[in-house]
Amino acid sequence: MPTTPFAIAVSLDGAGAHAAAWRTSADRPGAHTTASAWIERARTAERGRLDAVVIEDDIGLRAADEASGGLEGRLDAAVLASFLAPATHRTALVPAVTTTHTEPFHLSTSIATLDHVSLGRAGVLVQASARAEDAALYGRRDADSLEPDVLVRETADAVEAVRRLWDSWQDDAVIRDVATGRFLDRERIHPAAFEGELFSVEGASITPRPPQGQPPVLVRADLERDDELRLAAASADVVVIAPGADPHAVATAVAGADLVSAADTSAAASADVAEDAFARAFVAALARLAEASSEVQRTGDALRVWIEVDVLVEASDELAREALRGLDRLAGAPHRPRGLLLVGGPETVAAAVARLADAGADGVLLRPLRLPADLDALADEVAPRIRAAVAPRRPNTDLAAPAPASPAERRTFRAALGFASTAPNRNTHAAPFTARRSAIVREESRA
Amino acid sequence: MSASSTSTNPSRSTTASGERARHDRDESRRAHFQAHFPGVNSTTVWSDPESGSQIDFDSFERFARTAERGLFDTVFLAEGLRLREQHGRIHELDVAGRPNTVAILAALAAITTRIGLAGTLTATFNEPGDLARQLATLDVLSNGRAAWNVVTTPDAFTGANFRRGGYLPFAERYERAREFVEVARAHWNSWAPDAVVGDAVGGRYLSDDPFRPVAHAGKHFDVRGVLPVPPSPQGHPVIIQAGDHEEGRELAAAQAEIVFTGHAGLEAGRAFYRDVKGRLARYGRAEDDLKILPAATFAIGDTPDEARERAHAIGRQQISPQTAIAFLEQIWARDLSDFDVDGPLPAEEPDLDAAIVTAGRTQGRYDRRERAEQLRELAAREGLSARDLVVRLHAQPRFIGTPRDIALDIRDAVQTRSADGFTLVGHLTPGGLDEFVDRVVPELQELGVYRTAYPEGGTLRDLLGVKSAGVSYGGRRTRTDSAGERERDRLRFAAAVVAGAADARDDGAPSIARGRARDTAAA
Repeated sequence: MPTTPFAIAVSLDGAGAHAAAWRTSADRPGAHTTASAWIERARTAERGRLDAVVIEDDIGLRAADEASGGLEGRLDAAVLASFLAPATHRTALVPAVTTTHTEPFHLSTSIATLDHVSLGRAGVLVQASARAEDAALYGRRDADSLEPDVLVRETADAVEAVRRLWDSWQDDAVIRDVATGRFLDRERIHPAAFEGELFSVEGASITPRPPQGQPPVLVRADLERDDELRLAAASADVVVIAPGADPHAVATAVAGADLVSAADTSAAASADVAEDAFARAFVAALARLAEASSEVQRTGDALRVWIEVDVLVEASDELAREALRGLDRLAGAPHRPRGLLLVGGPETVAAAVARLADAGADGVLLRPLRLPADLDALADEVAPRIRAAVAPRRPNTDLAAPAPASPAERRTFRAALGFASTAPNRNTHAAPFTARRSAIVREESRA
Repeated sequence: MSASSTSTNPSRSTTASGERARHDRDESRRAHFQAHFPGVNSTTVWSDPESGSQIDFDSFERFARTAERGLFDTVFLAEGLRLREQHGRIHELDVAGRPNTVAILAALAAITTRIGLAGTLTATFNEPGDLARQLATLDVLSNGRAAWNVVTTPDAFTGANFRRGGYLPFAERYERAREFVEVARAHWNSWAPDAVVGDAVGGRYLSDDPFRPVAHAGKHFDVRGVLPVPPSPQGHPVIIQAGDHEEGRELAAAQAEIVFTGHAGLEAGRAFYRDVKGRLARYGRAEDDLKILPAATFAIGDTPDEARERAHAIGRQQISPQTAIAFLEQIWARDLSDFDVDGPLPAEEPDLDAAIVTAGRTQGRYDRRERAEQLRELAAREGLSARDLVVRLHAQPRFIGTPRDIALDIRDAVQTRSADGFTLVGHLTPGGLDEFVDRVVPELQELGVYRTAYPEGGTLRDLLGVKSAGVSYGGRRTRTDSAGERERDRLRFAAAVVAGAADARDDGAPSIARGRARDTAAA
């Protein structure tokens, strides 16, 4: 049983994870690109004491399809996260950013600033893009050059450059010494001095060290991709996985007969068999991650493992199933979850998530199928039940602490993950963890 | 007339009357203000007990709230993408460290409601698609209050922090900037105005022909696609231009709605105003579609004497002995670390063979031996120590006086077409504008030269009273209709540019000092 707190996070995108969600939403069509809807979403997460909000993003248009009715448009997630920071006080804000075409230097200052503005509640979900449309929007790289292993190595390099930039100012670099006329002590500022395969970053950051020192870095890893697992092990604080190649087995495992998977909405498999199947899938995933950590020689803070779960919540299991059937009818196709799909009443969904915690997950990244409906339900009905179930077995899980009265009492995102509230600076102390980036992509796969 | 004598000469009011006689006053003209967050240079005093954090959000929040209370047009942020160095080491004497520009403006959007949010963002080490999405997002989140100060960054020193490195020849910086703005505008035009149908019942979110994809193939950019952010309230953010040289002025006339300049002096301002506004017609734009807002500092007192004393005290805070030495080393290119700044200027000549010692800051281009000689003459004429000479040149506020005096000076500048207002730079973070807002703004309002409330609704562009220089949908025109037109435009632009006359201002940092030095030199 892990001793880390169990994190409850949500991933917000468009009008919800279901393609037809915008058609049944209480929000008007297009709300997903407005300030007011996002403030409402962030406040809902805060009300539900959720640990983090991940704001999804992509460089280009989403690939609109028939099922979505062509729903389009998004706001820049990092800019949006900074906008939401003053409107919230507790929940961490985690924008998705693409490392493929963007500047690591700008990425570092953008997240460092989010951390300053939110007083230690920043995180970042890094992702790569192989899409030709995204490459065309930048026009600097031939899409053919964006091989999977190149993208993985570049992402690892970007994270390393960003981490060095975050640490480039010591926390005590500003001295304001009137006697010598010095505002700074230059000895306490360190160049990034990063040289990678595709880019280099020479100088120190322009932005002083963020309050957390190292805002948590999240990576989604495909369990079919060893290099992505090693990338997560070498570069990330949190890896987000969707265990179980067979969605039927996994969903029924967690859910028993009360839950459905996209593969089989009748979900009649025996709970025992399913429990066993899920346990096998998850244990296998953990073993693969442990192996990846060992291959990149990760030492120090352990990688946190979150499970990604699509969620639809109604007052009862039956109503929930009915709602999903309705959405699927509108979309003209069954919903395809990233991994797990939990559909049920609050008790059922909370119990299933609690079982993920018991199975050894450090957290869940819940994807509400419908916004704002499923986010409301998660915040108000499901999250309190998850915490009540998990807290007795997981120390430090934030059960019902009063709202912080002052900034000093605020819990950083790192603390919510069970890390040191402020990371030690690699220029003066041992880094929170170390690993070998060179081991991420093996020689044979470079050929 | 020098800027300093404008403000400190006891016969100032007589002079001002003379000015009024020679210049038609247009009493319908109103002042506009930008609130420049104190920057990373010696203008910002950090040794004062009132000096707060340069990075905590509380500082930005308080500064922006003050500016909004003062009904300013924008809160304005400069940018610099590498820590400044002197003698190859990080410069320690000035405030350093700043946030990511767009991120901090986005946070300010959440705690303000009417003031514009202006960020300096280089066209050299960004890509149009990146900035277009960030600025469009800021415009959405702020309900139409985004502004972009387009600058270029000249050197490989900054480039070493970026993928490209130092890739761009000096002469092409503005060429790229101009094409950059064109491509950014194409991104902002990439959704049809009626693209979103939002038919939930029918399951149809977009119209049949929702997009106008960017299809740009130029010298600096080859871009295709659609911006994922739907059209923002302003369509395009307000464009600000800060370059003072020929290319910058032409870019301003073609593309900008605000010009940020160092020409704060009354006479130099008029010349600049005439020159830049005189270029507007050829782009089909009217005088008031571009607001000229020079950078200006100020020192306020209950009496003129007290104001002068404060100006001097602030100047001595800004120019510490070490800072005075650093300034002189930029000209002399010698190690002056043991030099006594309370005595005369260095006796030896500048070392003309030495490499430039400063990196990451804007540097004037001049003959350093000639400059040293000018400084010696000025110091001798006015009996100044080396440090007080640097104070005289680099730390003289543009406005010195009682609140009423300053309001009258501003009225004169605005109503005789020397400026449309000012970009005000306080010397303290975050309280540097408090006194201006509390004491000068009411005087301006009483004089009828400044708004008494924000207008109802509306965008930053409405607040400024300008038409967009580039919105195509719902607007007047687009300048990127055809390749042929683009090429003609490019040639016309190139012809207008006097090669080599370029200044090296890059980071949108206040060039008050150099603006004033120019005024002084012109005296």
